[in-house]
Amino acid sequence: MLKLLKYELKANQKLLILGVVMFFMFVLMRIALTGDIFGRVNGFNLLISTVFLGGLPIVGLVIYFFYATYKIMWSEFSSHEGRVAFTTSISGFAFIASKLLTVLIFAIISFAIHLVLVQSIMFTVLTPSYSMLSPIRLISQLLEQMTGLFKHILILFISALFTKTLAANVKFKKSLAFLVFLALHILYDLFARVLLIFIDAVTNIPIFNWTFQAGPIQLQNLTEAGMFFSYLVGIILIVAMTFLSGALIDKKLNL
Amino acid sequence: MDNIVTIRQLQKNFGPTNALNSINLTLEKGKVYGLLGPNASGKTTLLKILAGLISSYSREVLIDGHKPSTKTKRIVAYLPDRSDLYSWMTVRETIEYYHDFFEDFDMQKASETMEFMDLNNNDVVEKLSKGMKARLKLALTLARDAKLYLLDEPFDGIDIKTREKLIETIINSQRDDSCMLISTHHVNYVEYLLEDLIFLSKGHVLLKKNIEELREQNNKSIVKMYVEVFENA
Repeated sequence: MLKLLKYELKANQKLLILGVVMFFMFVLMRIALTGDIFGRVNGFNLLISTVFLGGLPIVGLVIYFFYATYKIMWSEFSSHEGRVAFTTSISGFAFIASKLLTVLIFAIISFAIHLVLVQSIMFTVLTPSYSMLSPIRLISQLLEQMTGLFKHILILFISALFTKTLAANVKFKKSLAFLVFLALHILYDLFARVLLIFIDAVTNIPIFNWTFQAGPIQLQNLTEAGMFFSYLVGIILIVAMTFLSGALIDKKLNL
Repeated sequence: MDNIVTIRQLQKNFGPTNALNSINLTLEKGKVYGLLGPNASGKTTLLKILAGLISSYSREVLIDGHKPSTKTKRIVAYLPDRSDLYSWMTVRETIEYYHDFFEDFDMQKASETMEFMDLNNNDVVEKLSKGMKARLKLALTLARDAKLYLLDEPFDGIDIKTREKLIETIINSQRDDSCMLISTHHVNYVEYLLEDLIFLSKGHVLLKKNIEELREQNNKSIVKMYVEVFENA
């Protein structure tokens, strides 16, 4: 898998360099505008920071990340280029896992740029007591965003993969892929919830700290331990979806 | 007889289209087969199934006794009709890629073939002409010590000089322990390369015979027979 990762990084090295350059450029811009990378932004500087660091660059960052993700995950399926990979004895799991690791590298770079662009302004102004540099909060936020992100990427990928595997010869394959997309979202949330309820029931660890019930609607809030387990459950489901993608490539490919 | 490929009643549909219909075929080690047929006869589909790029089909396909899978991909060298290489790589990087992912890839043989084919290590795949890409694909495929070689239209859109080089490379790569299946509709280019012919039309095997026997029986060239067979198909 490391060999695959090497080629994925080589294939996307220009985008990778662009991300790193963007990060340092925005760090320098922020220091130039506010005098401090994580310092509190006030008055006129806040206005300038919001315009120059919060507007267009955010749109650019979103486009950058999604373009990179699309290119990494889908290039071998969207054209004939790179299909040599499917004639090798590489397992589908290794193929997808190396792609996800590459996306993870891009996600970390994008997350770092995001911190410089928005979060530091928001947290220092709106919630000044919030410590941006608290490692636990940073890790918690990173885990929350990454599990959420990879959940969506994998659900989207598996749905699209249906058009190249099980549903390759179906007339309305794109509509079917959309239905698979919806079904996978529902199944993911259902599994995640069942697993958390299961952990809550079989261990002494409190997962939910309050429940609000009004007719059929039930709202539950997670404790800190519950949050940790929700990330863990997220990681388990992401690994399961990676295996599912790999199995589809190994057993049901239809190019 | 030592069969490398056994196909029984193979059926493949693309939606309502019947691409392959009740194909029964065995391929032996040590032989070079020509898979001949007009466009849309099912040649590429058959090769893709053997290469493991199409996994959904009915009935049985066995390569060295195993269903097409990551295991059989270790012994199958496939040359597709379109370039499947990464366009951003240089020739040297494609060689490294093959070396990294195909255990049977022979670096020495690759270097020799690249030199014979006038390929420059520093050229980027994207910038290569169609003919040079064809040379590169064939050089990489034949640098593997595979048990089964699948060549899909290796001579399409290339000049005479390149074609002669490709044919010479194919001849030099023939081994007793391997089998080669060459799909083409340029019968005249490959006639003297082949031992057995398989005529495919509309997903059916019309004929599978030794090329010498065919010539003796019909007293005609293969090109003439090809035209007659497919006129009546």
